[in-house]
Amino acid sequence: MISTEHIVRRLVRNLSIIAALVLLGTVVAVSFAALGAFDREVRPAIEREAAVIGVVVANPLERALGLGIPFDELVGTSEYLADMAASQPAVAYLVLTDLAGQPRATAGPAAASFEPLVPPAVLPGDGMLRRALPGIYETAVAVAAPGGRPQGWLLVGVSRAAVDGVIEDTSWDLVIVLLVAVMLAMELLRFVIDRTVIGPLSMIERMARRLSAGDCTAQAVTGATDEAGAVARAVNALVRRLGDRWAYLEWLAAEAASAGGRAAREAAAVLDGLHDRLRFRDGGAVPEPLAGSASAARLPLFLFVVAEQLSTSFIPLLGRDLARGAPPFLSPDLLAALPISAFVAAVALATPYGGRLTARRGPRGAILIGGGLAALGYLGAALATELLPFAAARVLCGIGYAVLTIACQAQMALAARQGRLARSLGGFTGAVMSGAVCGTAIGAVIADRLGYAATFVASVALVVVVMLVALRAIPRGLAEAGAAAESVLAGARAAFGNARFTALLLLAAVPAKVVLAGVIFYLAPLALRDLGESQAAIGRNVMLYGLCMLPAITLGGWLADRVRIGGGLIWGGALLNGAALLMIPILPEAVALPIAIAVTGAAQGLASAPMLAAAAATGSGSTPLLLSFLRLGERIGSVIGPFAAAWLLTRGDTVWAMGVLGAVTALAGLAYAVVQQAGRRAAAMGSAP
Amino acid sequence: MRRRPLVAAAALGLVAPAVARAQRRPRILMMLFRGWEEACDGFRDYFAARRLDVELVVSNAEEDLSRVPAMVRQAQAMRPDLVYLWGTTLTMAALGPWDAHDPARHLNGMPVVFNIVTDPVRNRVVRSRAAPGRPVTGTEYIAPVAVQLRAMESYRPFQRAAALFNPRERNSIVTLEEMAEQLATRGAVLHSLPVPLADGRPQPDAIPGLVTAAREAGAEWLYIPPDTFLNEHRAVLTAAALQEGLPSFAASERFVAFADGLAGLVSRYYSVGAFTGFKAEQILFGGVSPAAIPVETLSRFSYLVRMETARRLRAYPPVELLRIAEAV
Repeated sequence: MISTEHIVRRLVRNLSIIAALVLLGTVVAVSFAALGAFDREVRPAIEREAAVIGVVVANPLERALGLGIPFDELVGTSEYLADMAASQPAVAYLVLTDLAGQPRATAGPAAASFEPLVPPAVLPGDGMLRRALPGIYETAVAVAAPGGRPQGWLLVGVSRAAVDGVIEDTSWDLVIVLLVAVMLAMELLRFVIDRTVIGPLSMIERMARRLSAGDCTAQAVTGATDEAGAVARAVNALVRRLGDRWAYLEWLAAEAASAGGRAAREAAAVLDGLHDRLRFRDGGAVPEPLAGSASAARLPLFLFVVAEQLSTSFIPLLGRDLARGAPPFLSPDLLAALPISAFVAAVALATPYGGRLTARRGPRGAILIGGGLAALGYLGAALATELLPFAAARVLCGIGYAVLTIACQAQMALAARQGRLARSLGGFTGAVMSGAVCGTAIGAVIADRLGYAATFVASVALVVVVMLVALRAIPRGLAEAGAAAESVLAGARAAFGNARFTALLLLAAVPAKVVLAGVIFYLAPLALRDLGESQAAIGRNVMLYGLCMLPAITLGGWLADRVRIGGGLIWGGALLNGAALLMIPILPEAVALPIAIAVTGAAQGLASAPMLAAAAATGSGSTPLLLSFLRLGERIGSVIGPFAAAWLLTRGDTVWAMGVLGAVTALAGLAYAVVQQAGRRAAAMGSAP
Repeated sequence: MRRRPLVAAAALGLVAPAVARAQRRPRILMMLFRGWEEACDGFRDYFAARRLDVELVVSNAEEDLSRVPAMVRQAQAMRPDLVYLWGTTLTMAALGPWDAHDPARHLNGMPVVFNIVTDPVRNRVVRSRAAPGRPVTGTEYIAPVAVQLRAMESYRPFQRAAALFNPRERNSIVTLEEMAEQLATRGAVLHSLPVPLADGRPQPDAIPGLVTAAREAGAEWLYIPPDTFLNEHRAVLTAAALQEGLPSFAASERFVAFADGLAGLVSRYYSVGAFTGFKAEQILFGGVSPAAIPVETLSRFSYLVRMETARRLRAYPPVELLRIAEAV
């Protein structure tokens, strides 16, 4: 049975790799071309700027010479050059030398790094000399009375750090755009391949398996017009003809039986033998019910997270703008937090109800309801001109977010094929992370170009697309039998009565989010700022978390399904995470911080899919509800994180606080390992005779 | 050399009768103290450039204050549409203090603009610059004293400065008082040297000796206040300073532009005259009462440096200053 499934999987993997490589190659090539152009265009521009500065600064000196002041008796040149250097941030130094290159006056932050100039015998056409010194571009302008012979040189040094900084920042922007483009393309590719290749192929494979087992009761779905559709139609024709023949044979046998005789009895025996091997349905075969695939929910989820994250970068700013009209005794900074808190609270409170809604209506229904609510919310946010309506709109967005994400997660869990639960659920975290990265990056651009309201309208449009995709790609139904009756409260009682689930929640899921919100989003940026890093560099360091997490999620899901070490990944990830944070107080901060952030991403990524699979597999209640409780716990962890970090900061410095959180994480991981071992031993004893 | 009094209507021959006015053209009586000079050119040219038809009638005191009562009587008899007064001394004599005006001795019943006047508030020509308090307005031409001090320091910093002045001129006394006050707050000193009087008139012969005394007292700058008597003898004064190797800094144009003064932060007389013409236009053609027009100074001053003097003193201006200075 390696055959079809194996071939299909390899085909999909290879196609994805080729597509990713082509995309990456194109973007990298374009980026390098752009960078090259930047280097070619910008550096000469900076050198021209140095020349202009030189000409401007030399002008009063030349005027002085023109007025008959001897070069050796120029007054106040040091003060003048210092003034000029201070007004030009790019200037590293300004040095006035005599014709022999001896400095007469120097100014500027890098004046000490000036190297004496040895003027050549023959001057270039424009009368300027250019040197590239370590870290500095220098342009030397001859200083002469108007129409007279040069009497000295003015050396303008422009620091390359400023230029290199601009180039570096631009390169990083290009890398981010590249990443977003590749992620977006990969999500679309995944969806298209799933619908047009994997779906039809696996359907045909199922049909072939059925027919080879003699099952002729089902027909293939013949929606597609491509080769797969043609094969499906041919298979269906075969099934129909077989059915017709069978009906004819049965009629013949019935006729013969009414005539009686040995031949009739033998024919009936043959038919009975056939009947044992072939199964037919009375009235002809009917189309098989659609199962839908686990990854069908991935594109809607990804697009929805993009829609939500479009506004992430400016919601605090918009909140503060809207808070301006508030009464003076309320601080705008405090009020600006209202929409954010309202959103987070709505997500946390609505998550269990989203789980219940999914269990009753099925993932497709829940996605449509959640999408509708969120679309209303974004529309309200686009139209809001005051703080309270805006906060109310964000509450709607939060409820929609909670319902839609849990519905997608449940679809992934329910449609996951046997042995692929962890990988399928890993797709959830992957889609959320990719969506967050893409949405935040593109949202900032849209908001910058088109404004806040237009960004929310873009979110509405995306949510409509999400709902359309869900309508087409996710089959109706798949509600859990018996789940409909279960209330949130009863579900909670069942879930938290299960020691394995409670241990998973408190010892693994919550500590991971405490570290994410407390260390990655709070303490690490503070520590990096104290190290003197720029805002952009801090952002890049924080992004390391997501970059390391994404591949780790896939790896963790694969390991959990293949090697069946999900439990080990959960506590091993926690230990690894704790160790990385404990390293910060030991190693130099500048080295330890990026490593700790990267390792935290990898460790949490490895544990992410096994954690979801373990929660879904505890079996105490419906899967959507269990998943929703897990996510509720994670939300609470995200809220606790910054507070815990802030509290620790009142008792020590950032490094110490990160170490403490690391130790707590590692201890929780060990505790989870102990609980898991105990549970396994109890299970083994229970199953023993 | 001094230009003779003239009926300047002739000078307005250029003026085209562009505005066909039903009424007769306005008559301006220009009462001058030491004859026609650049400020009067600026005043006259302003009307020409604006194609405003005015009749200018000039009378000159020839630096003799005893002539002022007769000039006032002449003005009262003529009843011009506007009186133009030149110089602090003449303006004070013709108008009297704003709060002790004597209609028998001072101009009354006619609008007045003044030009080339030093500190009209301290000299009680007007109550305040924003609200003159009488039908009199005009322009100032001296940069604020604090600005002049900064200008001197930007050329070369100093602790001691000296100044000659005519004790009969309020404008000089007022300026030097303020300068002494400001220098005291910086821990610097102004050595004020009055030119001795004989028969009530200052003695020009005493000027070189006073400059030598200033030098010997350790002065690093010779400050020249806006003083009509010193202006008259600017050649002697600035030559003496050059002789003594003493850099001189003037508050008005002519000591640098037409003598050997080293530097000065000044209003160009021509520009101040044009600005005064603008105020006269508001009164004559805009129907605005002079009492409602603030007394103002030009917002920009010229930093003059006489390069030949700098060369002879070997006291070159700093490069920074050369970015704004006007070399003469």
